Amino acid sequence: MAARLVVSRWAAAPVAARAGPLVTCRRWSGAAADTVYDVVVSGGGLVGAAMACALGYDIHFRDKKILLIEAGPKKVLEKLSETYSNRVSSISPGSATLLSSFGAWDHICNMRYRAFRRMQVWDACSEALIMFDKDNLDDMGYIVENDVIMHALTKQLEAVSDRVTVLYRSKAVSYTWPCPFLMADSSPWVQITLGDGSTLQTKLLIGADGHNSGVRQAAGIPNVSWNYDQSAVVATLHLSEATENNVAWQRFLPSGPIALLPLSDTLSSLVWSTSHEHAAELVRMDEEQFVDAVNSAFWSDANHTDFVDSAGSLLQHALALLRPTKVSARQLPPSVARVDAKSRVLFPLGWGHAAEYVRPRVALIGDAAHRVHPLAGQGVNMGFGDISSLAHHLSSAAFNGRDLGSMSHLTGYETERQRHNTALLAATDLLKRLYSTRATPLVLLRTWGLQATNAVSPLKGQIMAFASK
Amino acid sequence: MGAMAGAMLIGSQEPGASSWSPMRVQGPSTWDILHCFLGPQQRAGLEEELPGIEPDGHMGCQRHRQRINQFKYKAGIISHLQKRNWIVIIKDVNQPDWTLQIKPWIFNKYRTIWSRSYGVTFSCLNRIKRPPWMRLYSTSQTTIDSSEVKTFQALAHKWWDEQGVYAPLHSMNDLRVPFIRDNLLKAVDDHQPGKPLSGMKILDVGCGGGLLAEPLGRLGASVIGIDPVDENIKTAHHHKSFDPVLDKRLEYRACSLEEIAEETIETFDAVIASEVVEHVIDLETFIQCCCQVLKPGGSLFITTINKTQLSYALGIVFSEQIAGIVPKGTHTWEKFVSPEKLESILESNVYHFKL
Repeated sequence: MAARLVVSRWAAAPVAARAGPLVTCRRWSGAAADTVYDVVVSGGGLVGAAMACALGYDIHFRDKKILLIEAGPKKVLEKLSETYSNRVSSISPGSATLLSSFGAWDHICNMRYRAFRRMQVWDACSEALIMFDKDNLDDMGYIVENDVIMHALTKQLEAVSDRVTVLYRSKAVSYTWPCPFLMADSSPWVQITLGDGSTLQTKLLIGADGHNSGVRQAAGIPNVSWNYDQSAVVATLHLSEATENNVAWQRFLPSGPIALLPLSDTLSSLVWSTSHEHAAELVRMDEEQFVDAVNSAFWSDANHTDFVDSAGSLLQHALALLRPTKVSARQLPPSVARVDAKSRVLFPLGWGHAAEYVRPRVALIGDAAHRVHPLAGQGVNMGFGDISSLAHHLSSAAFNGRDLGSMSHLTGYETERQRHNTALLAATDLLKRLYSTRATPLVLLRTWGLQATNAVSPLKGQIMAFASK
Repeated sequence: MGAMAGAMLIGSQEPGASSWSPMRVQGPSTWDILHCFLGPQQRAGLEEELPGIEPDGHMGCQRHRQRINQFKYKAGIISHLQKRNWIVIIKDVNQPDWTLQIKPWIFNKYRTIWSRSYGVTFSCLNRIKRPPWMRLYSTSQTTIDSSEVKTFQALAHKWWDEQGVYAPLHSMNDLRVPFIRDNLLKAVDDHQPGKPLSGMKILDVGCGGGLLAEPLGRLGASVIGIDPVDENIKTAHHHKSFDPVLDKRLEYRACSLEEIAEETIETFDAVIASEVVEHVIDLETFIQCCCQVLKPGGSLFITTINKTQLSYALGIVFSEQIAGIVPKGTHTWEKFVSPEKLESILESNVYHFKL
């Protein structure tokens, strides 16, 4: 009976545009049964843990109860291992600011990270290249292992354990959404059932559970997504000789981009996106062959065609006439000597964007809201950007005494982030498709485009600023 | 009726006295007196019943029994009194004027009602339970407007629909809560982050469904919300019952300001009358009661719509009639209060205040 009542009123509700799946509203059986949390973050990865930290350290959340639910075990890193982990992230300056706002960046600095000052991106099918750097060679970004970030976040969470409770090895199994209006006996909070059968209630549920987000599916939020026909291979590489190693290299091959990210003077991390078959082959082949494949991917000119080369140099001369300043010659990345044993892993790539980031009492952040190709190194940075925006909105809402699950400030977060993320997602998808082909017209187009962009410094500055947020 | 003008009756009663004092009505004839009762009256007539023969035998009663019988009139405010108020009209044959005596026989609620009708002032006197040092105020019923109560009763269950009829009040919270919070924080030196208003006691007059009380409760204050409409209090109570933290900090009562004023003198750090003063009848009394319950140094917050041409155009014509943002009949422009009027009332009642 309660379900039918819900159906009839759903039709009349003015928020019918966001009508989700019809579930019976839970009968309120009194506060003694469940604790009512103010915020529950579902998913304890990089983005989820950082969200819990950001709220835990927020001054207006001192009186609130926050819970973080993580399906995996607690990762304790007593001692930093000698070998570097093969999963690394490129952290933009904006993300570094967020991490330092709750003290995690200090832990990272005490462990290890690598700053890079220049980024060279060039094409395999022509001589065109683009070089990004800041005017006074400031740090453009940081390469940090995911384990190191996770350890720093865990340490910070432990420091605020009076406000933030973390449940490890717990998975949320089902969610019950509140009715959009106050019915006689129904609870206005979101109810979460965990794997061990216990239930809890929350005023705001934040979904940070990755690109197969359970929160997003349970809320019925439509998601536009597709799988790329590419997988990424990651590995830790030893360079032939120690260099200053503060440059990030990326080359667009027709099969996919290959990137070399600095980890230390002698070590770099590889991210090579290529077709599924080639990726499987790369992981399977022995180390010598793998190293040769990497070196030739960076150095070989096999894909050049004379036509495109001459067209490219034509534009290059024209630009040199207009701006006879520096003409950046193509620099070659360091050569690779060997690869760390057992550090080769592959994972599939895809693109995804949730149609809505928020619903009443629900918000999505990180990969649950958007999933992107690693060619721009923006995946986790977009997630951290979501955290800054949402934490800012929630903080001012808490200081105004507002109900945390109220749509008024959640839609503010959604608007702000959708504007930023949509542009970046569209741009990375466009780049990926543009550079996946060998067809001459497109190669010509992208060659000239890249050279022109490289020549216009303000434009490059804008791109860097957008990506650093 | 002009002859009636200037006939002043004094009705002052020592508290504790159980009897009534006779009043003199100066007028030419009984008929005129009764006529003035019959005519359209501003406040109240008097409900009358005829006594039997009084032991002390007032002739007037007997003689004019029929006359009085013929003219029934209803009491507005007195209906809340016990019904058996005897009215005796005495004509002293030696004296040219009439004496109107009202004998309350059975009563358990006492109040004073002043009523003016065509220049004739008479008062039903009752025993009033109040401390002697207080001036005689008109008590309950005179600041609450019953027509307003009816309007809000109909909308009592819609308070918490953020896109419904009360959407403007919900969005006004974005202005009201920071305003109140910042001003209250100025008065204290240090406060706990996370619960900036903790330790403060706030009275929310006309709290409705608790729209303003809940944000203040979340900021740490203990709030008592009062509203004359029972259904509003029920809605507010129901809404806060789901949140264990708010349940403890908020308290709602269905009563009027005057009723709570007597118990809670000088107990509140802040009194908030937000979007209320344009719905009350007696603004002076209202403000006086508000000031009564405030601690010395406490703050009184009043938000209301200004009485200007623009407020008529936007607040009544556009909002109610054209766009339907606010239900029709919620506001009457005549009852809007301008800041100057508020200031003058405050000046006359409170001897020291800072705006």
